[in-house]
Amino acid sequence: MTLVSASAGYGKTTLVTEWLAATIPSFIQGKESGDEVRRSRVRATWLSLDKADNDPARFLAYLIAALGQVDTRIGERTRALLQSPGPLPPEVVLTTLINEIAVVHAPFILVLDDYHVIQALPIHQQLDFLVEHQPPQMHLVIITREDPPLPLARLRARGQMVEIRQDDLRFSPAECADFLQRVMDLDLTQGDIIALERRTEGWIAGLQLAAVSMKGRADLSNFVEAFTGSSHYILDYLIEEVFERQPVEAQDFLLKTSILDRMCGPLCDAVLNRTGSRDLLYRLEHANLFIIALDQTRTWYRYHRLFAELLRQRLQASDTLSEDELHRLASGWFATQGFIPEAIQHALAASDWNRAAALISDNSVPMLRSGELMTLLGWLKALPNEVIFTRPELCQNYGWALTLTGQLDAADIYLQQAENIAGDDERLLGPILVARAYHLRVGGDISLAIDYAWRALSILPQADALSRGLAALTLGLAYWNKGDFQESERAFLEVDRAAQQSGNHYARMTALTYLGNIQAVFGHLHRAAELCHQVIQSGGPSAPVAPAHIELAALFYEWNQLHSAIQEVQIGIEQSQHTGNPLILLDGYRTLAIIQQGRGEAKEALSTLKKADQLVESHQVSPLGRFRIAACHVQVALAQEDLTTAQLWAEQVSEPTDISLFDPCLGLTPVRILLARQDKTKAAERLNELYDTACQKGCGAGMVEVRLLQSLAADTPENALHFLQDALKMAQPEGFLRTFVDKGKPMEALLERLRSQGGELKEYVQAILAAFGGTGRSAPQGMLVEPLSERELEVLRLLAQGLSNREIAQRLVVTVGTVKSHVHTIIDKLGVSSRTQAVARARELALL
Amino acid sequence: MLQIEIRIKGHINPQWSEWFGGLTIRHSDPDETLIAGLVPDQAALYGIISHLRDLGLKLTSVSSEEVQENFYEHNR
Repeated sequence: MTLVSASAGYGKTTLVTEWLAATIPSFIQGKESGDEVRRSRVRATWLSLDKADNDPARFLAYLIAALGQVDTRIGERTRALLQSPGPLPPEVVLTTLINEIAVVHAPFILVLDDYHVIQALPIHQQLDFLVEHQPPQMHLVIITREDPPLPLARLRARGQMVEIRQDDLRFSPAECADFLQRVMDLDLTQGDIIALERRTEGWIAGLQLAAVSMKGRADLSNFVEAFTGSSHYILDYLIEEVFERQPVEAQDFLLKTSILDRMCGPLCDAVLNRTGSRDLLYRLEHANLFIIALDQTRTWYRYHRLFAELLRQRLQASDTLSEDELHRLASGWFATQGFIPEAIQHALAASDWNRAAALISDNSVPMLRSGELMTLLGWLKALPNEVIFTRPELCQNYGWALTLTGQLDAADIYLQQAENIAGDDERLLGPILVARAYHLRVGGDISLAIDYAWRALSILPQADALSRGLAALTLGLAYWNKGDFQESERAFLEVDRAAQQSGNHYARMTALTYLGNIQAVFGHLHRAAELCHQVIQSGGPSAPVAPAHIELAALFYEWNQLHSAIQEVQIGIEQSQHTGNPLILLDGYRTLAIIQQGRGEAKEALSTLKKADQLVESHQVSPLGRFRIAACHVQVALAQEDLTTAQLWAEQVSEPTDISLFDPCLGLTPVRILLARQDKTKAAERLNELYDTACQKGCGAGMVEVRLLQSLAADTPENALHFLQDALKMAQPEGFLRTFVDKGKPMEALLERLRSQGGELKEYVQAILAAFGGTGRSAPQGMLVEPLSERELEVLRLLAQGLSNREIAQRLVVTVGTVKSHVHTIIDKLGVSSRTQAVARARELALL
Repeated sequence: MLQIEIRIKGHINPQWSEWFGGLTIRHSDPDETLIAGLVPDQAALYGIISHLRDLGLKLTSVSSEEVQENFYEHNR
């Protein structure tokens, strides 16, 4: 990384531009965002930041666009990811982006100019993440007026940063002489030059302004004497000199255009109500009046920021010119040309609320979709409430933006207002009800959220797939939270349908992940596994992939494929660490703890739960999330025959009525404790009720579990065997194993007894008893002697996609030799003789 | 409210006062300008400092002190 850090006017940007031009023959100076260098062999890309870029989503979008200039492949997947509704955790997006950068072979340079304008902490965090995980082929150059909040000391200590600071940029006396005499062609004495160098301390902005002031003067020494003798701030002194020497036409132009962050001929014509601005801009550029061309064609210009500040101050001080009027004219021009953000900013600056409201209203939906929430909120906050309150769509979109950024109370005000004004107008009301339903669900009011989502679906037209999909998603999640899985399934099927229609990949993957979970709850384990595989294969690195891995791990565990279970859950945990969603990570830890306990690794299971506890403490985890962890503690403690600990944790599990009874461990926790205390009568009573509930809800997995617990709680051996046989019949088609095995010795004894009696399902009983071996440590069929490493699994997956060694090497950014050696090991470990066989064998072992 | 005093090198034009939210600008020394007055909070102070930075001015000292908003009422 290179850090160019110095005050305004030291020539930072010029230095880097010239360095690039000298280093990279094809580099052309082009400096605004979206106007990066366009040539086929570009190895550098430039991103100029301004205050409006303080929105994490927008910053990311510009960053991706800039990187796309280096290699068109960068950003394809990341952009696809960003099409998901609502904001994604930045780490997910950045990880994807970094992986995409890693594909590029040749080194390249990314310049972030004017980084000091960035004040948003999330952007600093994004940059920190990027620097910390920077692929070696990328070289970052940061140009700034203040040191960025990055771990600079660490980068310095590791020798990973080159710094160019004020002292390096200061013009030496020789350079001052060269600049003034040769570049500016001024006939100055040695004494004058030394005096100017002292006065400006080698500050190039000061030197340049002084030079411009001296152009065309007869007596330079007089000027130098007056200037160097004055104690006035250099710029105050010189701007006066320079400005007063301009023709009236130019003075007027400079003042009025100072409100523009960037300008072109037609825009200036519109703002000044004149013609010929293009020529004037060109003339100003040649007079060295601190005006910078932003592109090759000399269409867009901007003032040097320091100069613009000085001009604006003069404009503000003058009473004759109306800034509002200038802003209004600028807004109009930008709007007709389709530069909406600038049109909005100028409308707001002009306090033209009606105009600003109309522009914001027309553009909020795409901004919500792309996650530019901070920008949208920034505009809306600048509008007076009276203006917003009369516009239902604006209220609705304000409500969305506030909800999506977690400001639920504020959101409520605007959403209620939106509903009030919309009245009976169904066209307006439909999307408002969707927003309210979403808001209510996030706020925990599940029942009302369901009401609103249904009302929305009843009036939304079929063609509005986006709103219908969102309503159905809200419905599905709300029913799922309530434990009403049948309704939840129906809703998610509707989400899947609508998402296919509207091409919303993220919503579709979310729906499939939940459908997979619901199938598992129903006891349709194979169907559940299919859905998880589908998400993993086509999901890309988006958030729903992590829960799909974790769900799949739980399924492998049920089938006693412990090795695959461990591998899946580890992938799931690793990926959920990137999502920033603690609930997914908690699911991962819970599943891992159960698997570890099942493998007889008691200590490891406890240390996994400890990590989960720490996560619960450090994050705001919902009550349901906390109950689940506590229930998992109970399960593990009971398996370790530690009744005291189990009882302590059981006290932490409460069961609010809205919460799923058949969440695998929640509703059963009290019964488990009763059974462990040998209080069979009470347990049996409770289990009877639970069995009925499970039947009503269609929770097949719960029915098997309850039947087995009933057999343990039964008063006579006959009854016990009766319950057990019932469970076996239900469980056999889907191959449940661990639900039996985890009940331990008493269950093993019952199964032995059943086996001795013979009868149907003999083979299944045999298989379950085989799985009891030891503490489950004995290798089930098909397990590998030596497991595959993470990297080998990664290579295996790419092999399965039919990639060549070379392609795999590119994908993983390693040499072809390394890939060959991985493939060799994989073939060895799987005990096969070719790549094709390896893939087939891996499929058999469910490693793929 | 914060009472702030910022000293910078050189004499800047008192016209800048409005630009700095109406703070007083005084040439306190042959080569120093004092910008002083009341601002709402630390965020406002940082805003002024970043503004000085954008003008390329040299900071020599910054001090700030919390003052009671309704100072006089409290002392009645």
